[in-house]
Amino acid sequence: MNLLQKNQTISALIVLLLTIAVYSCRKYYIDHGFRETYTNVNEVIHKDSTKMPFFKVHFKNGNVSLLDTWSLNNGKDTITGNGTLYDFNRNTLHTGELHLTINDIAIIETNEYSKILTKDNDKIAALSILTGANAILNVVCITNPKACFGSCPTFYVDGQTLLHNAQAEGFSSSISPSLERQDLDALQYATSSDEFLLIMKNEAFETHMINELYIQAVPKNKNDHVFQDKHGSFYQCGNLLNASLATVNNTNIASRINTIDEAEYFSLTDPNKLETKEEIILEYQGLSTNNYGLVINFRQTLLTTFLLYNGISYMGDEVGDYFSKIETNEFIKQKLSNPFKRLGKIKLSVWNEELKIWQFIEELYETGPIAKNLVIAPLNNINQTNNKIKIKIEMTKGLWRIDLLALTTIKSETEPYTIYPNTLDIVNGNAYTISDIAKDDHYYLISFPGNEFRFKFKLPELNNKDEFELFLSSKGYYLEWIRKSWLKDKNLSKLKKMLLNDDKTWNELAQEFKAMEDGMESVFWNSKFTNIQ
Amino acid sequence: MKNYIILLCTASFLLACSSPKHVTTPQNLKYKVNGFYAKADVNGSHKDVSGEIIEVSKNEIKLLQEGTLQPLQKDMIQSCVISVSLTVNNPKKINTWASLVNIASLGHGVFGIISLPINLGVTASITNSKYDLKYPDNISWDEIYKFARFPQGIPNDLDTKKLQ
Repeated sequence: MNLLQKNQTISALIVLLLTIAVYSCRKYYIDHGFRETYTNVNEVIHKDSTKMPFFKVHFKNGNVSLLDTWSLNNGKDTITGNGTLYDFNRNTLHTGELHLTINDIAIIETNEYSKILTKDNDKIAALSILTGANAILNVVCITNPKACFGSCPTFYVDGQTLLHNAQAEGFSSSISPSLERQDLDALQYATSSDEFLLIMKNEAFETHMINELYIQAVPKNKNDHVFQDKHGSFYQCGNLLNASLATVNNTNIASRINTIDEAEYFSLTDPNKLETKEEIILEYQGLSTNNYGLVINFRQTLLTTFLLYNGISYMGDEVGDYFSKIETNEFIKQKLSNPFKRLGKIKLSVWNEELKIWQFIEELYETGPIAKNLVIAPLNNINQTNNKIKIKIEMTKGLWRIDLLALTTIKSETEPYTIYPNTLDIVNGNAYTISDIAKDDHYYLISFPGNEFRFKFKLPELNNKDEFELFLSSKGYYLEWIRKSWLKDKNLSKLKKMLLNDDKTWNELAQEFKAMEDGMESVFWNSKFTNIQ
Repeated sequence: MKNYIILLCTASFLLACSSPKHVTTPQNLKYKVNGFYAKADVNGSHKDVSGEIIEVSKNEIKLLQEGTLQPLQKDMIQSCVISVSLTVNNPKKINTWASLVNIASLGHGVFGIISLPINLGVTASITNSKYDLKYPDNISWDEIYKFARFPQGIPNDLDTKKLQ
């Protein structure tokens, strides 16, 4: 079962769970002994009335009366009391003083309702806890809506439109026109069909400017893999080899990083220093050639989202001025990347047994907390010792979520087909055509919050191969919508210090993020579909 | 998906706002003069037969279903659930609260994917819960008559067509 099929199954299970949850009623079975009936009327009326629980009289003609108080007359042939008399359809006949002839009574019923305990307090306690949890989540979403409502253009394949299933996020770090860039993402989707549907949504308070959009399709055999490296080269690869050892500070994390699934390795930030690093040590055994690559599937935590939001909110009502400066002032534009430089990339090194040193391979980086990025880092004929290889991953604590770290044999470098969409279906949005995104030019498709565009691609003949592995190239930028509530956070001095890497300011940011980290990270990302039940 | 969530929230709101019909609160049970509501699983039938218990004799139970008396033979009934009361005295307050909690998921954005099913699951177990008797598990046939409108049996001179 591939990841998409698994997600579909999980989604179906959720729908099933919801249906069951909505329609199910919790049942409590109780003992029927709270109600007693007496056909021998004399037996009942001669008992001490104070010991009789609630009293109901059924008459031979079908009427019934409820009595609050009752007593027997001297002739012992009539019950006198206060209450209500109902007919056989339970319409009220009389309320007040009643005189009931014993001979007319069929059954006397007593009820001990104290045996039926109410659960109001239990339910209110449960609702209070649930309300508290919801309120915390609401506060998190109000203070950081981007974490809740998505970011950047999100792309979906195979009809999936659930944010958890987003296959790619376009140009996440391009927050202004001058930062426009091309982004290449593995869609982690293979197809043998001659047509491919890609859904693009704007699920954030942002304006998305899409300049160019196309897919790159690499034909392959079913058992092979195709991966791209950070430079945009594509490789035909063989099977994946899992790490025999994967540790962080001597803790085994192999189960988190050995397959593409919902389980990811991640850590929490250092509360005193956001840029504190950690190391993953990997060991792979049973190597047979020298031509290997490390395949990594990863995404960011919400830390960069937090920093971006803070940065923009510190600009306050001068955000427009600052973004103008970003466009025209190279110095400010450079400074804007300082926070991300400070946090650093994912650094890969391989152990060189001869020289007894860690040999640097390369660094990887991709902005965005939603879609995972699947890339390969070729190890370039690295020397192996005793069919073993040892790799070190160095990265900032609490910044990355690693889903897969596996070795693969690189068979050959390969060329993709570049395919532009042949039709555009506008589900919600302005009337653009495919020509607006067909070239890197000054024409843009502009997508506003809630917009949805569906692109269809015609795929070429497969010839001798089984299917196409698909990659998405998107080029553009986006503009964050400034919320009124952000304006009050204006703090230009803090913005300057943040961009100039002032240690004290970064220490404050570390503590601010720490206060939100549990709420943002644990609740959202740790909540697996399978845990919902 | 967003529409789907809104639809579910609305559905849950409507469902959560309504307590099970025919079932009263524990504190109002003493004013109940009708028979209890029963739902019978009948052999060979795809649908449950439900209604107010009017009379229970040695071999038969009569349920009043939308003004029509439905006699069911004892040996046809596989099981029967008799609704006694809700488990709470303030269902309106609790159900309204629960439905507001479900609607809060709309403000969770993508977190709603997680919070909505959890909220729905928990609130569904909180609202709509009731005390039942189940035949044959915890009540015998001979005891069911106590919960009929006419525990003494339908009076001979009563025109059953007039029953409401």
